[in-house]
Amino acid sequence: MTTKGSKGSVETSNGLNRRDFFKASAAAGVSAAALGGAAAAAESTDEIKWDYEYDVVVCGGGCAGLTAAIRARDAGVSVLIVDQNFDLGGRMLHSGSYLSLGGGDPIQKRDMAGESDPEGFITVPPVESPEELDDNIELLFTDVTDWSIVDGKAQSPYRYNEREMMRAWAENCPPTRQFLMDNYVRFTRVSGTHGGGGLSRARAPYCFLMLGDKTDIKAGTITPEDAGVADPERTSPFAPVQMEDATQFVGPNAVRNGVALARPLEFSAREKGVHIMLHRAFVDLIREKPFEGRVIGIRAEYRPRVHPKTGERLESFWQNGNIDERRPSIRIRARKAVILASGGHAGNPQVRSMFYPAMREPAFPTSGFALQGPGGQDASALIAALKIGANLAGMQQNLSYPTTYHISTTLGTRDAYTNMMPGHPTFVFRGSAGINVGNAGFEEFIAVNQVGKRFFNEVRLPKRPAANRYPGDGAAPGKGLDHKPLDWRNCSAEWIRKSYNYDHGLDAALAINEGSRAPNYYSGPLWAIFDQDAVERTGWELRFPYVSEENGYFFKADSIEELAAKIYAGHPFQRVPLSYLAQTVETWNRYVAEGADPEFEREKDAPMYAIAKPPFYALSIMVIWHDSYGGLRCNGRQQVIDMQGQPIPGLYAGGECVGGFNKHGLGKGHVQGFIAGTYAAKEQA
Amino acid sequence: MSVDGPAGFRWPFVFWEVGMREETEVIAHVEPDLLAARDEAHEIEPEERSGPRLVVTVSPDAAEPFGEVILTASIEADELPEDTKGEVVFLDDQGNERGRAALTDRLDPQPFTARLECMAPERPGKHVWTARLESEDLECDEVSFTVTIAPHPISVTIWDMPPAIEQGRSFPMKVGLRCPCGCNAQGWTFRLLDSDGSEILAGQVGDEPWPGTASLYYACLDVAAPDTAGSHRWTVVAEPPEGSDVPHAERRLSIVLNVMRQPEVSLRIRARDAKTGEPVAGAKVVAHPYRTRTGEDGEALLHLPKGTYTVFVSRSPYFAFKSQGEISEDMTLTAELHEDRALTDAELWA
Repeated sequence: MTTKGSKGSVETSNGLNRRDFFKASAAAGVSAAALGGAAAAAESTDEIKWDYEYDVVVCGGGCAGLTAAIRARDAGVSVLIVDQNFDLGGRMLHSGSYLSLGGGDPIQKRDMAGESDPEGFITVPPVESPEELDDNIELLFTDVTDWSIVDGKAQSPYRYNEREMMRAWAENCPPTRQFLMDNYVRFTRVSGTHGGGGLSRARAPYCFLMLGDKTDIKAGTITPEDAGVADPERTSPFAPVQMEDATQFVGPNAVRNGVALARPLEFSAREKGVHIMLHRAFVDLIREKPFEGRVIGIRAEYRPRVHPKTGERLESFWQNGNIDERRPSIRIRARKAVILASGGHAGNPQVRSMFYPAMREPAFPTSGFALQGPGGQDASALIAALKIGANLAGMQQNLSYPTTYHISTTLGTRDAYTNMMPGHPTFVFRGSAGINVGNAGFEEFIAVNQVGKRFFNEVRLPKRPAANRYPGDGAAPGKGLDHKPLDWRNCSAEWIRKSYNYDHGLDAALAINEGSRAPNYYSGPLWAIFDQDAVERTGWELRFPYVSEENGYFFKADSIEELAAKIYAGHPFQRVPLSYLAQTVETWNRYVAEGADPEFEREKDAPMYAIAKPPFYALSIMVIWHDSYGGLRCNGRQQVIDMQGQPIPGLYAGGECVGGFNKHGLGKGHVQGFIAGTYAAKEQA
Repeated sequence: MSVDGPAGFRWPFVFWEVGMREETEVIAHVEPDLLAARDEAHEIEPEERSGPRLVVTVSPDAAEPFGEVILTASIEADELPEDTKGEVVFLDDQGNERGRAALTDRLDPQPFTARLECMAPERPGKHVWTARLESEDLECDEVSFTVTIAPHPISVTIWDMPPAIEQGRSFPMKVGLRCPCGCNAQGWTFRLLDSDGSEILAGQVGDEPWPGTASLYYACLDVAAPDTAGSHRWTVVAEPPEGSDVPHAERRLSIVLNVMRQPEVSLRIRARDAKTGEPVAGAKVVAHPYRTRTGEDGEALLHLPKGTYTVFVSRSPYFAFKSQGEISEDMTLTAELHEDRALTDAELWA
C-alpha cells in the first residue's frame, strides 16, 4: 500500500565510511531498493493479505518485550505483543528480580542520599555505603567493556561485548530505571551488582511489594496467598515462584522476586492500551525481499497451551487488552517496526548445541520450562532473523558466564531451576517441586550417569565459580572499591592461576559413556543414588509436592537392582539400562569402609556414607541451560544488523535473543527493550 | 568344563570331543571359526538361495531379565533395489509386536539394516521371536531367531553393620535378599564367607519384609568379629533357591569390615557456627571409621584407639570442616562451620 522507506528513512547509525566503497554500494543498494524499487516493494506488500496491522509489533512479552511495548505506547503508537505462552512475563516472571543497572541511576542516587522511596515503604537504611553507589556513565561503560577482567574459569566476560551497544546500554541505564519506576515497579535498597554488570560499584536492587489485604499494583500491595508465602507448599496463579522475604532490603512485611517486576509492568502495559495475543508463536519475519528491503511484519501460529488431562486452554491472569485469535496462521503487519524479544536459545537443543554439542541432549531443559512450555527459549528470534540475513555477535560468550548451563542443586524434578509448588496452572507440567539439597547435600549420595557409573567427585559437582560483579568475590585482585578497571594485573597468569576455581564436573557429566550411541552419542540422564540412612541423616522430605512417584524423576525400591530396573522402565530419557549400578554401589561401599575413593578422591572434601540401608532411592540430577549469550548483532539503537554491517530496516531486538552482551538477566533486557521501543516508535510508517 | 564355540554358544567339552574324535590331531590347531564354517557348510540346504533373506542378530548373548536387548535385522541379497525402503517388525514368542524399526538407506554405514532396542522379557531361557519385513519394494520370508535371557539375579543387601567393629567382640548385621523380578524370596538361604573363603555361617531370611520395603526379606545376625585389627573383606553368597520354578543366578557380594583395637582415648567434638558462635546440632562427625552426630548442644563424643585420624564435621548448609592429626590422649576439637555461600540468591535468580 504505502511505498517503503521512500524518504531515505533507512537509518544507519554510523553513517557511511567514505573509505569503504564496497560497503557504500551495498548500502546504496538497500536505499535504492527502498527508494526506487517502490514498484517491486509494492508488489510484495500487495500480495500479502494482512490479518492485523499495528505500528509496532513486539515478539515476546517478557523482560525486553514488555518494556519495549510500554515505551513505544508512551510515544502514542499502536502496539501489539505476540507471545507463545498463555500469560505474559516470560522468564522475568519467575526471576529473582535482581535488576542491575547503574551509571548513577535514580535508585543509586536515592540510596546515596539515604532517602526512602516516595511511598515510604522502605524503612531500612541503605545497605551500601555512598562511595559504593557513587557511579557514572563513563565508569559503567568502562566496566562493561573492560578487556582485563577474567572469571574463575579464565574466561573474559566483558572483553567481547559489542562496544556501541554497551555505550548505548550504559547511557540508557538511568532513564530505564526511571521508566520502570514510572510503571509501578518498586525497588529495594541496592545490594551488590549482578553478573556481567561490572566490578566497580553496587548497582542492583530487587523489586518488591508489601504484604497486605489486597493485591493492588497501584497501591503496591499483595496478599500472602498471591505472594505464595501463606503456605510453604502452595504457589499462586499470580506468582509462579513463591516470593522471598525482603526484610533486609526494605523492612518487615516486604516480599521480592520477579512477580514484583513482571506483574506491575504487565499491569501498566494493559492499562496503557497495549494489545496482546497469547498462545501465539511468532514464526517468521516478513521482509520485502529475502535479504533486502524492510521488515514489514510477522507470521505467527496458534499454539495453545492446554491442560494435559482436561484439554482446557490455560488462561492468562488478566485479560484486558487480550485479543483471542485462534486461526492457525496469521500475518501481522508492522507499519513502523518489529521488535524481537522472544528470548534466547536455551530451550532449543538443536540450536544451543552449536555452542556445546553434548547439550543436544534433550533430557536437559531450559529453566522455567514448565512455566513457558516447549516454546520457551526456542531460538525463534535467532532462526527467523537468520533466515532474512541477520548477523550474529558474541558467539563464544555462552562459555563466559557460570550459570549459562549448570548442574542444579534441586533434585527430583525436570524443572529444576525454580521451586514452583502446586497452585500455579503450569505445575501440572512438572509434577513435582523438587528438593533443593544445596551444595552440602551432594555429600549424601553418589552421582551416576546413564549406565550407573560414577563420573566425578560428587561434592565438587554443583560448585560454580563466582560471577564477575561488585563486590568482587574473587573475580579480580582488588575487591570492592579497591578494584582497578583496565588493569593488566586483573588477568596476569599469576592471578589466573590463583583464582581459577572450576572443576569441570558438569563436563564430566556430559561426557560420552558406555550408553552413548551413534549418531547422537547422548550422555543421558544423571541420578543421585542413596539409601534410607541418608534420608534419616538429612531429613529430606521425599513426598509430594517435592517429589512425585509418577513423573519419572524419583524412584524408590527394595534393592539397588530393582531401583535400576525402575529407572530404566520409568524415566522418559533413560535410553539404556543402568547396568553398572549394582557394581558401582558395591564398590562404593567398599571405598567407604576403606576410607578412600581411588577413582575421584571423594574422601578429601567431605565424609563418605555407605549406601546400604533399604529402601533405596534415586533422584534426578538436572543440567539446566539457563542463559543465552550469543545471538543477533545489534547496534546502539538495538537495530538488527545484517551480514554487510547494515541495519535491517524495520527490525529491532532486545533481551536474550541479542548477542554481544555477557550480562546475566534483567538489566540487559529492560534497557535494550527501552532503547528498541524508543526508536521503533520513531520510525516512519 | 566347557569351551567357547562360535556365536558365543557354550559347547560341552564332551560333545566337542565326541564329534571330532577321529580328526582330533588334525583340528587341534585350527581356529574354531573355520570349524564352525565347516559345520555350517553341512547345514546349508542344497537348493540355491538367491532371494533376499532377513538375518537377525541378537545382543547381548544372554540378556538380563527386564534389561535391554538389541535386535539387528539386515537384508542379505544378491541384488537390492537402490532405494529399498521398509520396516522390520519384531514379534515375541506370544506373537505380540515388540517394536518396529525402519531400514537404513543404502548410504548408511550399515545399509538396509533395522535396529531395535527393546526391553528384555523376564523369563530366563530361550525365547523364539520372529522378524518380518514390511516393504513395498521387496518381499522376503519371516525369520525366527532366539533371544536368550539370563537367570534372574538375586539382590543381596547388607546393612546396620557398625562402621567400626571392635576386635574379638560380636557385632550385628542384617542380610536382605530379593529377586528384582518379583519372585518371592521368603526363606531363601545365604552363606557368609571370611577373607579366606571359609564359611563362617549359613543363614536364611525370614517371612516378614523389612519395614519400608514391599518384599525385602531379611535375617538379623550376630557375628563374631575377627581377632585381628585391620580391614577384612568378607563375602555374602546368595544361593539360587532350590525348588524355584524360575532359575536364579548365585550372587556374591563383598563387604569390608573395619576391625579396630579397643578404644583408648576419647575425642569430644564441639560444632559451632563460625559466624554466630551458636552450637550446630545434628552435625555428622566422621573420624574414619568412627561415626556419630552432635546432639542438641552441638557436642559429640567418640571413643577410639590412639592413632592418626581425619576428622570431618559437616551439616547442611555449611561447608564440611576437616582436620587431620594424631590423637594420643583425650582431647576436644572445636569445629567452626562456615556457611556455604558459594552461591547467593542473586546467583540463582536473574
